[in-house]
Parts: sequence; C-alpha cells; structure tokens
Amino acid sequence: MKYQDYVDIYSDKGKVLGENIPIEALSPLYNPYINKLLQIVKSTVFIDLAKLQRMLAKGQVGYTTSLRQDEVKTMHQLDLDLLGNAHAIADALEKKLHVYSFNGYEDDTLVKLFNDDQCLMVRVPTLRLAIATGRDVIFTNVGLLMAQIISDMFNITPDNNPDGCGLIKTALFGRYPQMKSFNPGNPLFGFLKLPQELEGMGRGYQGVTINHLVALANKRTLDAVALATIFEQGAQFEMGNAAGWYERYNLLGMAYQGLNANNLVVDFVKENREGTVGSVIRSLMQRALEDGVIRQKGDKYPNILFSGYKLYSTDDPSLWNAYACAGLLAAVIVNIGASRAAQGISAVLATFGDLLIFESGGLPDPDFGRIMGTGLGFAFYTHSIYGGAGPGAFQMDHVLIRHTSGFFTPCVAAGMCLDSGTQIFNPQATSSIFFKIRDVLPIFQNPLKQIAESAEQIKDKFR
Amino acid sequence: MSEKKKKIKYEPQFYPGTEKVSERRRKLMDPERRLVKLRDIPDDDIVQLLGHRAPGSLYTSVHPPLDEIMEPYDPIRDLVVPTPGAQAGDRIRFVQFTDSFWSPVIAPWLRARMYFNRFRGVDTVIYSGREILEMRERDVEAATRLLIETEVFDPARTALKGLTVHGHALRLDSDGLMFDARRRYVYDKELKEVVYIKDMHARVLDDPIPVGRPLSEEELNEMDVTYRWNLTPYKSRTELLLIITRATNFRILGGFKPDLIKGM
Amino acid sequence: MSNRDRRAKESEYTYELGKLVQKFLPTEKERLIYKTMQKTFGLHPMSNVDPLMYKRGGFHQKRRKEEFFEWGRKIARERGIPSYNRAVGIPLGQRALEPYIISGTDVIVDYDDLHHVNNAAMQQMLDDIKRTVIINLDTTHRVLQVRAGKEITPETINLYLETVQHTIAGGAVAQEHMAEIHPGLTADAYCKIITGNDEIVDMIDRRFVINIDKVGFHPSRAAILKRDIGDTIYMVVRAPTISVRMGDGGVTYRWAAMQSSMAFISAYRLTGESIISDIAYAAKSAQVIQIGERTWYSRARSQNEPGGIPYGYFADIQQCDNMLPAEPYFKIIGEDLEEGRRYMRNVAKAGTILALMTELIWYGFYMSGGLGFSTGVAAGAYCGNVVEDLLDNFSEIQHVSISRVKTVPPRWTRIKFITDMMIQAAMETYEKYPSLMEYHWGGAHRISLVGSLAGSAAAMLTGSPMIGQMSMNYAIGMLMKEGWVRTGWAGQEVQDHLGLAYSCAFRMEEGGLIEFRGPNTPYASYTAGHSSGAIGACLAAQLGRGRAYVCNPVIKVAFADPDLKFDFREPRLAIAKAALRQFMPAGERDLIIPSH
Repeated sequence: MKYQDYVDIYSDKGKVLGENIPIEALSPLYNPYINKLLQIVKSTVFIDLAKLQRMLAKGQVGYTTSLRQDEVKTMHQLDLDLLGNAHAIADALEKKLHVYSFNGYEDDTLVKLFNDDQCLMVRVPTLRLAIATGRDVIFTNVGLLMAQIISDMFNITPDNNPDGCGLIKTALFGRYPQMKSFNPGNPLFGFLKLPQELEGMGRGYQGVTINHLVALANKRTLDAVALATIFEQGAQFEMGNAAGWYERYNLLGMAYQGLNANNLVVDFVKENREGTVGSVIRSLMQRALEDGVIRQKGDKYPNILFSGYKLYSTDDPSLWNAYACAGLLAAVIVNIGASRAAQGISAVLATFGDLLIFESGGLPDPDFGRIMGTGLGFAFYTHSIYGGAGPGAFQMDHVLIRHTSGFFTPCVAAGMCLDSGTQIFNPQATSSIFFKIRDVLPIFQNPLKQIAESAEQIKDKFR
Repeated sequence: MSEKKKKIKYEPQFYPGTEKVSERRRKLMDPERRLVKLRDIPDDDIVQLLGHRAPGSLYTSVHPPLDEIMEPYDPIRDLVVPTPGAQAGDRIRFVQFTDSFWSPVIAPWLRARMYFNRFRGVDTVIYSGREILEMRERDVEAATRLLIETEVFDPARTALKGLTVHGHALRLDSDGLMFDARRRYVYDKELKEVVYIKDMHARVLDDPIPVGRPLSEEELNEMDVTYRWNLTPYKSRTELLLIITRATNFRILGGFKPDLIKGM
Repeated sequence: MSNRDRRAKESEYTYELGKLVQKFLPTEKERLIYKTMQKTFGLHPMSNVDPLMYKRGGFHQKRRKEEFFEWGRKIARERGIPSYNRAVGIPLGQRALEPYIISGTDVIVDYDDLHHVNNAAMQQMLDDIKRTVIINLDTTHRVLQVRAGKEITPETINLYLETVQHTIAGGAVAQEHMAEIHPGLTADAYCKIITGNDEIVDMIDRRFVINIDKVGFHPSRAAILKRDIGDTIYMVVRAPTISVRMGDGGVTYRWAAMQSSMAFISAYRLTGESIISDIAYAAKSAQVIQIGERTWYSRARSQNEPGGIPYGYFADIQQCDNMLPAEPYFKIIGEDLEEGRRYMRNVAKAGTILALMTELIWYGFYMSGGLGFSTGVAAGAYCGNVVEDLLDNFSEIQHVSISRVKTVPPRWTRIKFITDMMIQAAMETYEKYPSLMEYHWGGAHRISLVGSLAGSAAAMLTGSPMIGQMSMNYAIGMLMKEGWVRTGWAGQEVQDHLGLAYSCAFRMEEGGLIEFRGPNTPYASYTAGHSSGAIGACLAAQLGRGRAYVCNPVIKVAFADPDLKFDFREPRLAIAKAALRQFMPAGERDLIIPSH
C-alpha cells in the first residue's frame, strides 16, 4: 500500500463504525460502497410521470423559468393517463431497455416505480454505458424509449396526431436541441446535469445541486456531508486533482472532514456546543498539537516573536489540512447550528482561514487558501445584487464555488441541513423529489455507516 | 493516533505584534477581554435605531419556535445550542456599520474577526467601508448594544448605515463626522454629542437619539486599529509582516505540492 | 363562369408562351402581381424579353449607387486608402436595377436601402428584441414579504416602478460616487407591468403598465390573453439600445436584474442582506423569461440573440395579427372569402419580421457573414406584393375547397391535395411572369417564399404547426423539385429531406414541437430558407385555431407595447420609412461626440 495512514470512522453520535481503516480503503477507486454509489449516480435516471402527465395535459412545455414554470401555454394538449398505466409503462420500458448478458457484462437493467407510483427510476444497463463515450445514454435512451412507449400505448402517430408526437418529445426533452439544456425541473432528470453543460473537464460529479444532497440525506448533517464528499471526491479523482502528490492529501481531507474520521468533527462540535467559530479554531489548535500534527517550531526567537507570539510548524501538511478542514466543517456547524439560518455558511467559509492563519503563526489555512478565497466570493454572491441565490440552490460546479479540492460544498450541505426554515430556495422547494429518491435507493441512506462497513471488508487488502 | 496524545494547554494568541495596533486587534478579537463601555443607550433607542420593529412590539417570526417544528432526526442538530432568536424563530435582521478610514476604532475585517469570536449564529459580509451583520432579530439587538455602547463605536467615525453606505473614504465634515448621503446623524453643538435624526434605513425618527460625544483626536489615535504613517507606521511591523509572508509562502508552496512545506 | 374563375387546362400549356399570355391577359391584368411587376420593370411583365438589356446606363440608373460612388471617392481621398470602388469587379447595372415596392404600400425604394446595414428600422427591430426581458415579480414580492417582512401595496409597487425607470436608464439611487449615464443616451430604456388582472392594472400608474385592453388587440384576443396571463405580475424590461449595441443580447437580463434589484433596494430600503441575492437570483435566473437562450458551442452566442429564439417566440413577437378576431380560420375562409384574405394578408405582413430576423439577420449576417445576398431572399417576403398575390390565390382555392367542410383534421393525407393545388398555382405564376422570375432571381428566393406559403396555408387550415412544416418540406423537396427539377442553392434542401423524417420522430435531435425548434436546432442551423416558414406555420396554426398567441402570452403582450421604437404591428411601414431615411432609431451617440 502507498500510505501508512489509518483512521477510525465514527458515526454522528460518536460511535465507532470502522476501526483502523487504511485511507486507501476510503478511496473512490477502491471503496466498494463509494464505487457503487458513483456508478448508480452515473447510470440512473428518473421520470416524473405525474409531472409529465400534467405537462402533456396542459400543454405547458418548453418553459425556461425554474419556479412556477407557467409562462408557456402551447396550443396542444394530450390527456393521457400515464399514472393509471404506470406499471404497464414500467414493464414496457424494462423490456425495451434491457440487453443480453454479453461481453462480460450482466444485464443489470432496473426499472422501478416509486413515490406512490408517480415516478420511475431507471438504471441503464452497464453494457449500454460501457460502449458509450460518456453518460449521455441514460438521458437519450430512456427518454426516447419513453416517447415510443407513450406513442404505442396511446396510439399517437404522425398520421393521427402529428403535433401530439411533437408535444411528447418536447415534454420529455424541453427545447433540446434548440436549447443546449433541458428545462429546469425537467420530468426526465438524473442526479447530474447534462454532459454538454459540463463547465470543465472532469467536473461531471459536481453537476449536482447541493439541496439535492441535503434531501437525499433527509437533512441529517453528517450524512449530507458524506454524500457531498463522495460527489466532490469523485470529481477530484476524475479531474486528476487527487492523483500523485495530492492523492493522500485528498484522502485525508475526505476522511477527516467528510467521514468524521477519529470523531474529530463531532468532538469539535461537542466542545463548542455553545461556542463560536473562534472557539472552534482554538479547539483545532489544541487537538492538532495534542495529536502531533503540528508542533511549536522552537523555544526562542525567531520561533517565538518578541510579543510572545509563537510559530508553529507541521511535518505533515496533508494531515494538518485534513484537521483544518474538519475544523472548518465544525465551525460551520457551530455557527449555523446556533442561528439555524443557512445564510451564514458563507461567512464562516470566508473568514475561518483568516482567523486560523493569525492564530497559528501563518500555518496554511484549509486547502491552502482555496477555501477562503472561494468563501469570500460565495459570501458576496449570496448576499448581493449579483444574483447568486441561497447557498443550497448552488450546484457544486458553479463557477463561484468549485475552486477547492472538494472541501467546500460539504460544509454548505451541512449548513443547509441545520437551517430551520429561513431559506426561500430550501431543499423542499428545489429538491422535494430527492426526499423520495432516498427511499427508493437505500444506498443513499446511512452513507457513513455504509462507507465504513465496506472499508472494513477490504481493509486487509491494503496491508 | 490516541497513543500519541499528550495533554497540552494551548494558549490562544489571536494576533502577532508588539505595538499598540496589534494589541488593539488582539484585544477586540479575544472574547475573554471585556470591551470598555463608553456610553449607555436605552433599549428602545437601539430598537429604534435599527428600525426593524417598533419598541415594545413583538418579534416577527420566519418560522415557528424550534420546539414546535418537527424536523428529521439529526444528532448534530441536537448537539448545538441555538441562540435565543433562533429558538424563537425570529426573522433574520441586520445591523450594518460603516467605518471611516480616518483613525477608526474598528474596521471591517477586524469586525469579522471580532464577530466570530464574540457572537454566535453570525452571518457577515465584509466590504471595504462597511460590514453587515445578520442574525436573528433579538440576537442582533443584543449584538448592536455591544457594538454601539463600547469602545468599538465612535459616534463620529463609525456610523449605522442600512442602505446608502457610502462615506468611509471621504473627508470628514466640518464637525468631524463621516459623510452620509442620507444625513442620518448630525452633531448637536449644544449637547456636544452626535445625534441620530434618522434610523439605520434613513427614516426620520420621532425623537432624535443621542449616541454620545465623538472621541477626541488623541483618543482616536490611541484606539486606531490601523497602521498609519504618522502614528504607527506599517513598515517596521516585523512580526506581522513575518507572519503574512510565511502564510503567503505556505500557500504558494503547499498549493503547488503539499509536502513542500514539511517542517517549515 | 367568369373569365377569372376559369382555369387553364393542362393541355393549354403546350402552347407557346406569348400566345397563351394573350389569351389570359384580361384575367392576369387584374392580378396584383401584374400591376406591381409592370411598375417595377416598366415593361410588359409577362414578356420574357428585356429589350433594354445592356443598354440601361450601368449603375447610374440608381440614385443610391451614384451616392455610393461619390462617397467611395471621398473616402479614398480623405484616408488615402481606396474604399468602395466601381472600377473593380463587374460593371453593375447591365440589367435593370429594378426599384422595390414595399408590399401593401406605395413606397418605392432602392434595393440597397433594404440592406440591413443601410436600414435603421431593421437594426432597431433586432435591438428591440435583444433588449427585452421579462421578469416575474411574484417571487420577488414573496421574498420581500417573507424574508424582509415588507408590505407590498399599490403605493410601494408604484414607487418601485418610478424608481426602476430611473435605475434602468442608468441613474443612481443608493450611493454617491456612482457614475450615471446621460439620460439622453438611454432615453429608450423603461419598464412596464403586464398582468391579466384588471384590478391590479387599475392600481398601477398607467404610465407603467401595458394595458392589454388598450394596445390594439381585438377584444376577443385581449380576453384570451388576460385569462391566460392571470393574476401574475410580470415586468417587461427594455434595456437601452446602446447596451445591446455595445455588448450583446446577454447584457440585457444582467442589466435588467441589476437595475431592477437596485430599484427594489431603494424603494423598499434594503441593504446588502442575503435576501438581496434571492431577489437578484429571481430576476436573473429563476423567474426571468429570456427571449432567446444560448446557442451551441460552434455558433456560441449569449442569451437574447436571434439564433436562440424558438420559432414559437418569434411568432409571438410579431404583432400583425392583433386586430383579427380570435376565430378559427377555416370557418372564416369557408364562409367569407374577403375576411379570409384579411387573415392571410396579415400572416404575410408578419412574414416581414420573420424573414428579416431569420434569413437576413441570423443566417445572412450573424452566421454566414454574407453581405448582400440574403437581402433579396428576405425582400421576397415584403416587396413587390408577390406574397399578397399568391395568398389571394390560395385563399380562393381554400374557399372553394373547404366551404362545405366542418373541420379540417390535422392529417397530412387530408391536407396534401390543397397544398398541391396552391403550390402549383404559385409555380404557374413564376412560369407566367418572367419578370417575377427575374425579380426572384435565385432558387433560394423562390423556395423560401413558396415553402413558407405552403407551410402557412396548411397550418392555417388545420391549426397544426407540424402539418405546416410537413407541407413546407413537401412543397420544396418534392413538389417544386419535381416540377422544375430545380430548387434552391445546394444545401438548402437539407431541411426538406431530413425534415419529413424528423417531423414527428422521437430521436434526440429530431421531432418536438415546431414552436420550440429554432435556428439553433442543429439540422436547421446551417441551412437557411426555412425558418420563416416554420415560424409562419406556428403563427398560422394559431390563427387556424382562433387563439390569441402561439405559446407565450406574456411575450405576445410585451411586443404590443406602443412605446417600442420599432413597430411590430406595421413592420413594412417602419422599414419603408427607414429606406426613405425617415426612421429615427435609438442608441445614437450624438450627445457625446462632436457635431457632424
């Protein structure tokens, strides 16, 4: 194995879930749970049958607003009972989508109704993904097959209803390809945004709205943090950011901040239940010194300055960064837990680094300043006329918040979990369906526990 | 990990530097150190200055009190103690101060550092001249009391400004007051105090609210939190310069390859 | 049977053209096309000989060309580098440089006056579209109520609206030290409310509202628009023309979001609180209706540029049909030929905007960089009364064919025979009028025009844009092609052969409602000549169903605004005025440059 780092993974109640886990067992490359989750994210698509039926009945398609979505009223309507035929639709879709087990791939097609049979979840078979260059297939194949099924089932053809055919296609795909993207809140949707909306190489897994993750975690703070971490680190690995010099750096940051390694985050929060961001910084310094992550640089000048101010040094910058990121998350939790208002997330992200630098004698702040820079931009745009919206409505690859090694958005997700209803763009408003998806995809439940358990299974392979 | 652990009493240090500016910065950041109270402002006056509610009226809420909300289970949420305002479901309100450039008793970045050390449940955005502090309504009222009554407020050079926040970089008026396009405050020559005639949102107050005498030039020079060529020159501040140089170096090297800063 | 009702038998076409002409002359002389072609060419329009060819005096035939010639010499003298120079290239004017009659008017202009760079009205039409976005204010009002605890009353809305007129023009509200814009440069910037609720309209200062009842809609249409817009309060924002001329259409929503948010800050006394980002986000993203969306990478443009506008929105932008009662066309044409013709002629009038926006401005100017050719293609839609003449013919065919029919189902098999009749009549017109053939000298002109007419006519009868599109593809790719064994320029048939298979298909880049296809749809993005037909099909289908708009009632009302610089109800008059140099556009810089 490459690295000699072992961590214990703790639950949000401070219970040990996995002991002496080598950090590589947490890597998206090797951890079976993370690996499977990322595969599911990439290969699963949903169709909101209720919304589709409503759109067809009203002829409200091709809109571009994200709230209300009623500015378009076309001259075409189709009154189809999709919900009443949901089971037949699911069966037909499965038949059309499935592949033979071939070339070493099993047929793992899965079509499942959920949310009182109002939604379809579709897992596209791996074989279809394997022959593709990207993940477009989940949208293209499922959407088009759905259109065929509606046409077959309700006998809508160019001969008897040419505009009806057009309406079905537009309802499923919005204005695509006149527009590059689907409509906001499209009835056909996945976890991630469309591939052509990628804003940079390797950013695929970041194309998800933070509120979706909050909903998938059912607003349980450390679960949302773990999910955000998985998506972020998936992207970091795809981007090449987590390779070579940075692999251990990312894995440690991921473990300590995202997976509550050694109960660091929970300890910090416990110590500062009634504390401030500043008191978390002091807990962090204390703990880092105790654990030997940092040390006082020397006993006399120039390592102790005339004012008595001490310089600190670290022999393990990656571990120090992981500690700092864990402290950062705890600071967000402590501050937002107190106000129960998510709007303050950005302020902590913007100032934590500043406080830490001056407390620690200039030791690097989280992600070497990347968090602080990103946080300042986030604070400005979530508090100004430039049009950012509330923190949860951001996608992780937003040009404002994507500039870190994946340690920023987990904090935002945590803060959104702790909001008690002050946000207009809250998870219920932007991501209500993801509360249901959580029920149908148990893989999203208890992510911390599942990561730890699957790390336990493979940890011996890294000795 | 655990076997490495040794008990260390960590001494917070907040900020480097030997001279008075550093010392003032350290003081404002350190929550253990009391801020000197310079004036008394009645409760109702603070409420009126903030202008979010009428004195004596109830707090408006954005959601029911926390005890009455059914939320999904989250041990972390249960761990942190909410502020009184959050507990009651108050609407988020703000207080905003503009700090003059001319010998300010506090300045925006230092405000952020102070807020995060002294207050809980904080939202703040730091600009060049002003800083907004957003909290639950009753929390922001409590914070405002501290921010107006103590040494971090100079009636002449620190101003409550809701909208139209301009003025920090302008020269002072003939009474030594910071510019305000909304004329929220004036110098009362008889009373020898600065008097707010409008609230933070520039709505005219029924009765003017005095906020105390402007600090003298000597006092301001003593309390100035910024380096200044004629008072505390920045050039010779070796400790601070050393730390920021060190931090810069770490960011550059560590940002390139984390292991490069090992042991530095 | 009167002479006019008599049709030529096919066998009669075997006669030599001249003789045949003599036979039909009394009938033909009554046709609009005869009159305009005679006026245009000054000779017998049905003769296929131009006796003055090569003897017309070159470019001196035209005042405009002489002007250009003089300016070319002046520029060369002043700057030392030659510019426009008649000594290079072929000698122009060996044929007749015919004047252009703007259809439906008596105005006769030079061809060069219809070039988009020479015609200020065309530019203003583009600018007026680019500088418009619509913001739904309901979310903002909710944010103000829920998060800031502000009351929303008629007084606050009016105060806000007064404030936003100031900010949208570049005035400062909340801060000193803000640079302001000379209001003379942004005199065309303003905001107005659109709502379907009469009570709200009554409460708002009438200077700030587009009152649907008072902007020229037929009452039956106004009622539909009000019903479908409902109680929602939309605000249409016109950024100043100078902003889109300096930047691009993507400037508009940013300009609008920033300035409308500034007005909210001032009117409701807000400051840099986190709710401001919610207000700005609603205005900039969540609740903004862009006229156009971004285009694909290879032809990347920002929002509100013509390529990103879907066909249905183009059809709602034009306002030529506003005064028509909202009744299904097939009923009207079955009962009353003249009334039916009025509908047809208004579609033709609308075609002016559609052809200019797509053929001339998007394909010709933005996409291909061609300077000159597409002027003629677009002019086919609004010059020489050609469309009017053909549509008069079509309406007659329709009147006769469906007068006893209860409905015309949107089925291709049922509508095809009428398309056949109409297009064959159109083709015969070209065959009879060599002058018209010279006027529409390229296949592109002819297929754009005939295809559009086929699409519109079929959509109008059936109320189906899809049937219109099929009819257009069939008319060009099959009917015209096999009749003359020629169509348009090389790639132009792409859309007709792909188009039929694409029409209803469930494939990624195919199918979908015509209303939400557009010039950015890949198969339509690189071959011109069909977009105005597709838009015409959407518009015609709307009239076919007796609706008041195609797909977005708010956009429909937004462009009915009489305070717009370009008149979307009478586009031909605006263009004619500009050709005569009498149209005053916005966005000029005279106030900040030396007098000239």
